[in-house]
Amino acid sequence: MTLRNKIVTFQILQAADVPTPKTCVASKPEDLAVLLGDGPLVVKPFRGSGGEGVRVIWDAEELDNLPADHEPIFAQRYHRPDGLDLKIYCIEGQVFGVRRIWPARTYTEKLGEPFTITPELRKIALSCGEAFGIDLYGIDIIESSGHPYVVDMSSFPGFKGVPDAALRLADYIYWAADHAVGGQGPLAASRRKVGA
Amino acid sequence: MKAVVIGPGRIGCGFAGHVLRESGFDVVFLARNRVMADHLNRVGRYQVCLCDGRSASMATVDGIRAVWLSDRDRAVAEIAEADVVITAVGAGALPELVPRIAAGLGARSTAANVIAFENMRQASERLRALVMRQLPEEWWSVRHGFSGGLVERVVSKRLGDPSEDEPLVFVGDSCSTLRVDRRGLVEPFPAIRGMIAADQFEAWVERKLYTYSAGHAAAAYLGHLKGYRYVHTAIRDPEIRGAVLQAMREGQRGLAARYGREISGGEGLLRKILHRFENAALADPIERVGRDPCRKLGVDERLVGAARLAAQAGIAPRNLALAAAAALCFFEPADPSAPAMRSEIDRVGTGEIIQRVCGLRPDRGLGKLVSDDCGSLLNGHDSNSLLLKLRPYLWS
Repeated sequence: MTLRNKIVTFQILQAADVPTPKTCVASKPEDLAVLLGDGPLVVKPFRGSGGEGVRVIWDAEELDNLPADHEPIFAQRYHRPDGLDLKIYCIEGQVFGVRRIWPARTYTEKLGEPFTITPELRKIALSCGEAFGIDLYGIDIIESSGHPYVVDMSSFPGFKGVPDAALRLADYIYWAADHAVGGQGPLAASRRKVGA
Repeated sequence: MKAVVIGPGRIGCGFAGHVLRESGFDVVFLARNRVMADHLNRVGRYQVCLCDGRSASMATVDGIRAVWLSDRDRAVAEIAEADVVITAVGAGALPELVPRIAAGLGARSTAANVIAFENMRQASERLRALVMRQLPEEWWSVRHGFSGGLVERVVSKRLGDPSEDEPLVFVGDSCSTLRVDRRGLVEPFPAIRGMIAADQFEAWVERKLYTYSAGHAAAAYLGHLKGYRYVHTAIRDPEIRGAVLQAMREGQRGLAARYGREISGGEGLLRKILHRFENAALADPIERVGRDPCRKLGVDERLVGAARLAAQAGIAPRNLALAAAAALCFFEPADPSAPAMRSEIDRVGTGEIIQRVCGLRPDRGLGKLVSDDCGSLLNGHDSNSLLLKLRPYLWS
């Protein structure tokens, strides 16, 4: 549930020293104007997902187009990406990377292209999971001037583009269920249920 | 009829005790672990859950008792009264049982059959030699039978805690075939349900080793590289499935050239084996199947032995070589032999390890195939890496 709220999500990520763009929350669009002097901002619905409602704000006039719906306005410093967006998926310590066009429109674009995770990206990805104590999640990273920034995180994402993702998830879920019943397997769980 | 089963573990209880009770034997287990012996005596029964992936049946094995193996006099007395003695302790532990078996056989005037359910080569001869060495010469007049026992059933786990009073459950598949060596046993043969007394026992041992065990090992080692935890998920990975099937085909073609089709079996056998690997109810962990890769990479073992046999038949064992290379990358933290293998590879290089462990020259033939694949795998691989694709290799 925490990950549905970007304000809380990024507070936790920053507390865990995960590299993120500078982040702020405003109560009114015009409060952001002063920040535009240092460069553009990315504004996102604080409970949004899937890239919906995300806008890049380059100058103060564009702030007038933001919805005045009394919701907190979540904004981050915009960093021009060096290349494609990086989608990082984690399944209990296993880290997978997919390069993807943003926004992806076609199914092929959504699948993206798997790539080899660097040790730096692996460390960042695992730190994100540790910060929330979760095993299954995805993060979005952009690399700008050679620096990685986590720009989004979601629990139980679609794992699109991860080779054999469904099998890997099934494998993990079976393993997690097995460990939840003390390494005795789902059969033991069903025995307990019958005996209860 | 009385049977003594030494080793109430997965195969001892999950297969031997089960089929022996079904066949009408009185069954006594000899346990190295006192807690296990006490549990079986206290509870007097256990259960065997047989699953084929779609359905499961539960059988209760009762009317059993157990003796702690360290209680020497009682253990020897039980063996002395038995018509058949079965060992299921792992081939490595067999020598430590031999004094008890020899003393038990020495205390009887009639012949008994001893069958080792240990998946070992030349089991009859090795077991006979081990026991006879301990038997005083004056007792050699009684000719006892010695045989290996080729068990088809996989028993993947034991559920429950022997320190408690709830019956243990052994989970396995439904295969019940047991092959023994006709030449090694003495009459009367034990009337065990599903037992086949085979004339070419060693050929059947090789068939199991070079098809089923080779495929199982290939699925485990390739599955480990790709990050899978269970055989049943690894075998559903299309690349792994293809490589495993091809590896078993290579082994099978070698077997066909040496023993003929009757022993080697055909494509139907391999499909049946793949189907058994898919059995999710067994939840067979890759860590268990791949454990002890150094032993499993031996020159006559499941991967290298099968590959050598294939090569002798003129077949290039590319997939068996790939699986052997993957075994050299099996750095599984839960496997106690893994750190030693890793440090040896770091210290002396893969070529030396291929020569020492697999008995192959790394610069020619099969050894070169393994060496080349191993070089490619280790080149892109560290302990955090996952193989995403086999050909061409893609890592994450």
